[in-house]
Amino acid sequence: MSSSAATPAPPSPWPTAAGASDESATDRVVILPDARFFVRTLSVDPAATATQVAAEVELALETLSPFPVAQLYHGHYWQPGSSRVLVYAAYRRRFTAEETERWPSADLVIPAFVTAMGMAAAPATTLLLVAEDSCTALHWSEPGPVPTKVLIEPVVDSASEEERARVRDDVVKGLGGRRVVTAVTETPIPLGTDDERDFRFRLGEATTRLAGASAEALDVRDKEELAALRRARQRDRWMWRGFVGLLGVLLLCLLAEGAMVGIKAWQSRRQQTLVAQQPEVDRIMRAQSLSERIEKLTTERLRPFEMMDAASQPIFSGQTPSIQFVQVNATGLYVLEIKAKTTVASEVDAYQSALRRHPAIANVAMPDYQGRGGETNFTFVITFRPEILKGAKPTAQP
Amino acid sequence: MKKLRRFFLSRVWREKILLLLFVAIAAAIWGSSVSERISLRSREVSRTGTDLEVQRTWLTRRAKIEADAKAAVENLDPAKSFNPLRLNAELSTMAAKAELPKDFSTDSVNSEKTEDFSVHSVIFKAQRVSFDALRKFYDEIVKRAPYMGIEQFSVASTNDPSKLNVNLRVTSVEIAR
Repeated sequence: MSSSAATPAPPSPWPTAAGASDESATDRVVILPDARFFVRTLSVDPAATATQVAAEVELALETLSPFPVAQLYHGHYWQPGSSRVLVYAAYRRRFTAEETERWPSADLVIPAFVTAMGMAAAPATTLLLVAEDSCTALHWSEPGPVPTKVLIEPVVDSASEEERARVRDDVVKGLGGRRVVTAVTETPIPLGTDDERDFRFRLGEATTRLAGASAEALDVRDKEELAALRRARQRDRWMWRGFVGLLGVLLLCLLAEGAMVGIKAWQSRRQQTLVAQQPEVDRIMRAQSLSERIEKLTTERLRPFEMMDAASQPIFSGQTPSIQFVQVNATGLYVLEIKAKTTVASEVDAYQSALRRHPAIANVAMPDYQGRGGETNFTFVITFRPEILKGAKPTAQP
Repeated sequence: MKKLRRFFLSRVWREKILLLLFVAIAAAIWGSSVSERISLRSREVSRTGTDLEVQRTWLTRRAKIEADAKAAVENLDPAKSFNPLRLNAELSTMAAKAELPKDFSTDSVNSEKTEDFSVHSVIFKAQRVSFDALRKFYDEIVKRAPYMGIEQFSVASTNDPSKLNVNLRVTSVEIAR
């Protein structure tokens, strides 16, 4: 930033520039020449909302501009509570197709002087933006974010230094002949931001920041196109979030793969331990099993004849004389399975009842019963009471 | 990440969709494969953990089991115990004494051993045995308890009402000297 005019330059009212120009930021913002725009400062109700101000701006443009609003690129700068709104507009045909080519992909399209908005300028501050084709003066005569007056004076390309100096003086005079002027001769440069929502610019040696929330009002592009762009950006943001989420899944998969390699090595060591211990465990299990068998042989024994005695008692006592045993299996120490037949079907029930009444028998189950051609075949599974069976002496005959 | 974001957002709509699709397919395939393998590995780890726990239980009880096993044969006389040969020979002797038909049969002896003792078992089959002979044979086995015993007993009737087919699993204990 450099100073001009009659007195030495005062201290800069802006923060000193920090951060280098960012290629992506340059892509995000299109800065237009001030000379293409006409600028007006309008009064608005400080209590108005942003929507109301936007509507007022459109109405004002219809009266201020010789062209229909639809043929204008326009924007405005206003801050809540401000009694002024800065309106700027340019006839669309003043921009060639080549010049607007980059607009659809940009986040913000503004005239150069708008980069100076939002600065907390003290009253009586005048800023002179000197470009190749124009000289723009912004003046804050009252406190507030919105400049009180903005003047743009075009300069022809072939203008000499003297002519350019004269234009600068004219502009300053147009603002009332300020004695203290801060002049910037460099083109504003967009800077990257931390959150990528707000827009930062290097303006000479200072930085300025435009809030992302006010971008729609500042932007000169067609408002419907802007709305479509906003929707497209919203969609892109969701797609990006989805993309990041999926990348997260891939990252998780990668981590899981790494974890599985570790788990596999650990599991392999456990398997080796398992295999190494198994022979010893088998030996212990065998010792346990065999000692139990010996214990049974020593203390308990299978008593098939004692069980058969109890099971055949109803037959020999004449209660169910027709029943004949076909096969008898002692399937456990105290369980006897009897496959039997009879030609008198009614005796099966009588036999079961008789068995149930026997003091040595705890339970009688009949899993199978078949009657065919006058002969009934059935199976009884009889469970004995150990305490009574051990005291019984085998006597019966089948 | 910022560079990636910039790269992604600067793509045209179709490229964004394709990128998303590509990453989604990759995530689905890889994710499904990883999930399947994690599930498999998890079951394997769990099974091994259970097996190791069972082994640990047995190993913890080793001293007691070995002491119980020793105690189980402590009061048994090694001289009265039966090795596989003696078991077969004794069965033949008992069968003859009980007047069982000579065509009885025994399967090969199945033995289970520890350092201190063994348990042998054999399937004894006899056809057309009278009840009295079977009874005598049973009594002979009972006399040799606890060195010999019957673990399974099965009799079936034959065409001759006085005869039975017999199938027994006889077990003997052999004490290491």
